[in-house]
Parts: sequence; C-alpha cells; structure tokens
Amino acid sequence: MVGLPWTIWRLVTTLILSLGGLAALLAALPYVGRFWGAVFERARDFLGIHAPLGDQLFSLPGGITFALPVLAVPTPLPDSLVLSIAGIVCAVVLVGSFALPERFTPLRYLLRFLVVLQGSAILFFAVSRDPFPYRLQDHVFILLTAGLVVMGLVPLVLGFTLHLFDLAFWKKLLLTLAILIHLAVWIPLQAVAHLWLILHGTALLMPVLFLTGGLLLDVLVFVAFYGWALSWRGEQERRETLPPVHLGRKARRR
Amino acid sequence: MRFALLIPLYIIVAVMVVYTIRHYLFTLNRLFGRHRQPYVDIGTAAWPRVAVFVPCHNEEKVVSHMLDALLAGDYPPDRLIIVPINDRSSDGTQDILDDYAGRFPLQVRPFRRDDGRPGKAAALRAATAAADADIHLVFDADYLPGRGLMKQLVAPFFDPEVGAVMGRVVPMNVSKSLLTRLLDLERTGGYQVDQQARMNLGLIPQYGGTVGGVRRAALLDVGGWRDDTLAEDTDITFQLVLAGWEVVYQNRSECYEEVPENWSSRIRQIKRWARGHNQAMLRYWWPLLKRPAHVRRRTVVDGLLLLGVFAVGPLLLLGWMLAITLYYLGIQISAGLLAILIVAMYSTLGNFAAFFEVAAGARLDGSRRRIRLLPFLIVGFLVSLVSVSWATVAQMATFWRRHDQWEKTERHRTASTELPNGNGNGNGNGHKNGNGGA
Repeated sequence: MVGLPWTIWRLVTTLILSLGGLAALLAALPYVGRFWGAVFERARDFLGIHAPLGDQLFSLPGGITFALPVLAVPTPLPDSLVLSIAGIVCAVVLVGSFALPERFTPLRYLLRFLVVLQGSAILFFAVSRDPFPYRLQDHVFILLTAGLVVMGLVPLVLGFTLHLFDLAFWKKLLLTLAILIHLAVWIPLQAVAHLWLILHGTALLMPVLFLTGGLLLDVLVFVAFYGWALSWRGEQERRETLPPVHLGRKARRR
Repeated sequence: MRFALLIPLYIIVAVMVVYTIRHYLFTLNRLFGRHRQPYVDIGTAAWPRVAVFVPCHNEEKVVSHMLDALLAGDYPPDRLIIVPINDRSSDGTQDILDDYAGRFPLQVRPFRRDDGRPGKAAALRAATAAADADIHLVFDADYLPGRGLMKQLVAPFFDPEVGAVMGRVVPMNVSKSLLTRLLDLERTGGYQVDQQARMNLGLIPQYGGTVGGVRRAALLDVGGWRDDTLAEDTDITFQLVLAGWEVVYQNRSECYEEVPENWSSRIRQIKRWARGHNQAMLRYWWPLLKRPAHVRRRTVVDGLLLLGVFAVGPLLLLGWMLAITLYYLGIQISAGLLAILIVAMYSTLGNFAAFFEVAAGARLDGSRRRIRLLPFLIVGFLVSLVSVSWATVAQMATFWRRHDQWEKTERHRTASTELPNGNGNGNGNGHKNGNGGA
C-alpha cells in the first residue's frame, strides 16, 4: 500500500526549516515592526486618518522586545441612530439570507452567523450598563500580536504537516517564505482596514471584525498556501517522470 | 463569573486538542506506519455462501445499475444470492426487481416489505431471516461495486475472529458541483487515512453500513440488526466489538457511490448521521468504558472518541458562544498572549489536523491537484457544524420520539448519467493510483 518513505535527510530539513524558520522570524521581528510602522504611516496619510503614530513595545519570553505601531485614535461608540440602522441592516441581511438560492447554502449560513454576531454587539451596546471593554487602538494592537503568533506558528506547523512530504527542499523553503512574507504584508493592511471600518462604523463592528475578520482569515491564508503546496509534484514523482538521461551517472549505471 | 465561563472553554479547548492529536496521529500512521491489509490478495479459495442485501426505498433511478454490477461480479454464482429489499417503494422499484428476479431466478430473490417498522435497519433485520448464507454483504442501491469487490470483502471472513468488514467508498459524481468535490475530499480523508490508520493500529475501523458485510453467526450472536436506530452501522460496529468480534477495513476494496449533489440533500444526510451516531453514543459509551476483558484500553479510548465525533460540532459551537461572551466581558485583553494562543489553537489549529488528514489522503491517492480546494472545506465545515448541532439539539428536545420513517438520501442519477469504468470491470479504482497498488 502506498505510504511515504522516511529519510534522515527529510528529518534534517524539517528541523532546519522549522527551527531555523522560527529563529529567523524572531530575529526579523524588529524589522517587521518597523515595516508595519511604515505601512501604518502610509495608510494613515492615504486614508486621511488624523491621529499621531506611536509605538507600543511588545516583549516575548527570552528578552526579545520590539515595537509595534499604534495609531492613537479615539474609539467611536454607537449612538441610538447607529444602533437602529445596524438593526435594520441585520434584519435585511437575515431576510435576504432566506431568499438566496439553495446552491448558496454556505453563504446563507455565513450571513446568519454574522447576523447573530452583529446582533450580539447591538444587544450589548443597547442594554449593557458596563462600558465597552476595548479601545480601538487595543483592538488593532491585539490584531497585530495575534498575527505575529500565527506567523510564529507557521514554521512549526509546516514542520509538523508539510515538511514531512517529499517536496524539494527549495520548495519547502519557498513556501515558508511565501507565507511569512504574505502574512507580514497582509496583517498590517488587515489591521488598517479594521481601523478604518471601525472609525466609520463605530465600535459596533469591533466584535464581528475581531471574531471573523482576524485570526480566522490569517489561518485561511495559511490553509490556502498549504493546499497549494501539497498540490505540487513530489520528488519521487519527479524522478519517475524524468527521462533516463537526466537521472545522473549513478542512476543510469543502476 | 469569568471563571465559570473560562473553565468550560478550557475543557472544550482540551477536547479539541485531543481530537486534533487523534487526527494527527492517524495521518502520521497512514503516511509512515506499517499497513495492515492481510486478506486482500486472496483470489482462490473455497468461497462461502454469500447473501448480498440491497435495501431499497424508491430506488428506480439506480437499482438496475446496482444489480447489473453485482451480477457482473466474479463471485461464484452458485455461492451467491442477491436480496434486494423493497421496503414499501411507491415508484417503479418493484417492477424492476420483478424483472431481474424473472431473468435471474437463482440469484436475485427480492424481499418485499409492506408493513412493520420502516427504515434501513428494520428492513435489514426483517430480511436477515430470508437468507441463511454464511456472510451477509450490504450495499446501498446507488453503489456500483466492481467485478472483484465481493471476493475482496468476503476474504477477511476466512479469519474466524472477523465479525464485520468495511470497504472504501469513492464518490462517482465528483465533478458535479463544489459540494461533491468537497465531499470527495472529506471521504478521502475519512477512508484513505482515518479508517486505514485505525486498521493499522488495531483500533476500531467503523463498519459503514454499505460496501461491507457481517458474518451471520456474529450478527446472530449480538441479536441481529437493531431496528430502533438510525445508524445501524455504528450500532453493529460497537455491538460486535463489545461481543469480542473484530471489525476490519479493506482500503483496496473500493466501491463507487453517488454523493449528495445539493446542500439540502447533504444537510439531511449529515443530520441523520448525527442523530444515529448520537444514539449509538448514548447506548455504548458506558458498556465500552466498563471495558470487557477482551477489549484493549486504547480500543476503549478510540471507541469513545469515535462515538463522540458528532458531539464535537455542538461542543465547538458552545465554545464559540463562550468565546463571544468572554469577549464582551473583556477577558481577551486581560488574559493577554495566553488567551490569544488558546483562541488561536481552539479556533484554528483544532481544525487544521483535519485539513492535514484530507491533504495527506488526496496525495496518497495520487490526485494532488484537488488539494487546492482545501480552504473551501471550511465552507462544508460551517454547514456541517450548524446542521449537526441543530440535529443534536433537536434530538435532545425530542428524545422520547421514535423516528419511524425512511431517512433516505436523494438520488441524482439520470438515464444519461455516465457510469464510471469501475463498474463491473475491476476493483473500482476511484483515483489515479487506486490507493494501494504498491
């Protein structure tokens, strides 16, 4: 029955890529922080957000400390008009989800799920006597740090799940870099998008964005790359399809 | 208040982690472990008498294909009878069965039911007495067994400890829609990896109610098919294991099936599975936990996790509700990095092992391009999560009510449907490399 042969070389490359990738990422974190700061600055100017850009230090066990960008923006809270409009939009989306054709069932479910989440936010702001426990800049900071956690997990999770397969070393390396670079660009843009949406839509959007527009999307990005990589041809298959002239002297002799 | 919410969330996270580890270990075993398929290459033997049961309820679209495939099989005709069970069909099923019975009187012996409890389990129970063959194979009416499949499924019964055998199900209508493609991926993970790993590790491969069979003596030993269940397959699996019989899985014994082509059909199917599986969970978790002398500890652990598979959905949903409540209470920030890590694991990696399992299965099948659909699996997961949770809650709310009706998956086949080559000419290799040619 088909299985995968295991080799020492694959174990070594798995360790190199996983631990080396994590170490390289940790070493690059200050640069990532600076890059994210630059993204925030450009985005702030582009979107016309009037807020000073600052830094917030983030420390990891082991003494690694680096700065993440923070835009000191006030947290706009919804008034009764916003709550009413949001309620109407939710009702329309809910009714609309029932009107969708059967082949859009997953979309129906997704819309209803979002309506429930958004409904919970409306309920909170309408009835809760406690103040909303989050500030917009905290929300953005958590988004960035959660993104960093996902980035840190990438080399390790790939080590446990992708590097086990017989893909060429350079492909594994390329994939690790591709995911990390993609996330490094994606996460600050995602954070800025959240910031802009909440500034215009008030803190009413914060829960739904946090629960469905943060980690969930980061992980989907990872899964998409992972699925793409596992659709690549493996080394054994590549060797089997090569004409004998490419197999090298040793193989030809055999 | 916060602790009252955090503790159940931690428990749910722990359960998810356990299932994650389980998926992961199964996949590692399937990729790198030693594979057990001790019976697959038996070609010549004194074949026992076999009865093939095909429960039918309004199956006029598909049943003739099924009977043709069985009749084209290489099982010795004098050792084989086919028992299509017509359970109160209101379409042309009976006419088709009568036609076959007229043309093949020695082999096709329809069994007709017009009263009694409806449903597949009850139909099988009633028809068992109609055939005294040593081995009872069961196929759903939409399946297309390959020519050598019956011998492959019967071969394990030469081992006197084997009580039930399960083959591999391969969708035949994969290219119909996104749903069928996603179901194909799910089946790949479930059979190519999950079932085979359980077989390798000596755990409990699940008899799936079709493309498989039971030994008549074992069936009688446990009191026959239970007719008060929606999942007679899960039920018989655990009855047999508790009674000391072995259940085995044959990965190379492939058979084509028609998977649901629309979401409403899929939702009905998975709700039925959830209700049936939950019934089995309630019935067998305690007998399993008491661990009869012949059942190993790891089998108990695997059995309990298998029984709990459909409880994971509602549990996950509960976890989300707790997470949302905690979010409004401001726990997210105060718990800091630890909370982020936990939420990350719980909401993402907890499911990632399933992605790994599916991708590994598809790669082992040699059809790697379909792995690009992997992120879309979340679409299917969302629908399944809600459907299974809804079915479970409804089941709890109406636990006293009996489900005396046929719960049947809609058939999509038409006269113009092209049937796969595996029908009648080989082993039903559903994928590029079969799944075990090597």
